[in-house]
Amino acid sequence: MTRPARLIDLAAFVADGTPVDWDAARLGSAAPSGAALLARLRLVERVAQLHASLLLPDSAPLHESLLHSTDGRAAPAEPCTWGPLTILEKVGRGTFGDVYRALDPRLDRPVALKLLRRREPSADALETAVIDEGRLMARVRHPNVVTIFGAERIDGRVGLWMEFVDGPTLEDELKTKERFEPRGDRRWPRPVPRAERGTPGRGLAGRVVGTVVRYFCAVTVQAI
Amino acid sequence: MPAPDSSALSTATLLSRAQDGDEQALNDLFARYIPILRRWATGRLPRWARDVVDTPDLVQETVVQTFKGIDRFENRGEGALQAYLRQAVMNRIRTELRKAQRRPGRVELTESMPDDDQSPLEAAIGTEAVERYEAALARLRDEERELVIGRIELGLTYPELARAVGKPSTDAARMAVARALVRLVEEMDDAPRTAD
Repeated sequence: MTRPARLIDLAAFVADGTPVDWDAARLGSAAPSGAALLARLRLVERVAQLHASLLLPDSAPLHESLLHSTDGRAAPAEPCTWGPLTILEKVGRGTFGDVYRALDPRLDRPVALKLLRRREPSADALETAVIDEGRLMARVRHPNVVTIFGAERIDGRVGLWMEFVDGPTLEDELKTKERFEPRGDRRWPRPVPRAERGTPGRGLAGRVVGTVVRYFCAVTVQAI
Repeated sequence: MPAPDSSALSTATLLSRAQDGDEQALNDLFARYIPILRRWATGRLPRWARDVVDTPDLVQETVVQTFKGIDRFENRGEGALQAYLRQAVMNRIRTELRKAQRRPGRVELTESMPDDDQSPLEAAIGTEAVERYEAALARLRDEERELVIGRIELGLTYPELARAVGKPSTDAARMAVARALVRLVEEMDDAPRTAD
């Protein structure tokens, strides 16, 4: 019964996040299966450590370091223009791009501009996929869906510009515990009917409804 | 009279209220789980997928979608809900990865970027090890799985865990987690031997 008792003690250490002297633990496990069990428990410890690193209270810097290379280069200056758009202010930073409030002089209206960060040349195909998807989404017209005006690569940077909806981010909403007030008297965003005119298909409509529903419009605009 | 603050209520209570149509309870559930799951998901998405899948949106959508079916959710407590949401996000990640891989223009991996295809967890312990861990986790009893996910993956404290799975004390929760981990490693396959 020595091995199970020891195993559960070590398991408790792993659960606690207490460092384990795995070399000593091996010495204490004489049974052939002991070493295997300890190796598996050590694997679980690494799973716990990885998740713990993601769950640090101040996880934002870690989050960013996981998402983007940290090669020591200085952050590029904020752009003033992108193509025909005049950038007014940065309103959000997301997983793979920054979001700006910009002015489209042709439309004479503010727009939300999502600019992908500059990437390695190997990411060209990914950027093309983003443009393709943006153009596809621009075909959707629905009162519950943010209107995408276009998607282009200009001066080497990929951007999508869309209707600007002024509002708090989901992060803000969560911090302040404010209610996610639905529009009108509905509890959930109104789903787009499959056969809605102008929507190219169920798959796209579903994706758009999922990502750019006006109900969470500000979230999407500012947290892309 | 102002509405009482429901953010301190247990998830089970919030879930029950949400199922009765209480929107504030539903909002509190969102506030409680979306940040946790967003951080969790960053450990499970390969870097290349994060370029085409927006993690915050993915988690948000999945939680919203899951809670839309809240009326049908069997309320077995907080631990069950956490495990359920974690599985829902996991399933969604797998779906998104499959979709992303099917898209034209998908970048072929090269020797120079070997880590792009791995999630941080896979990079830390290896893809095969993640699969062994997940397989063993799936073979656990519900409560054991909820304990492992709650403590090891979601980083709940023992008091939170005791509340989540209905243990009478933090010590009881701690011992239950240790026992669940023993069961986990007993269920886990060994790493395949490499040919010499």
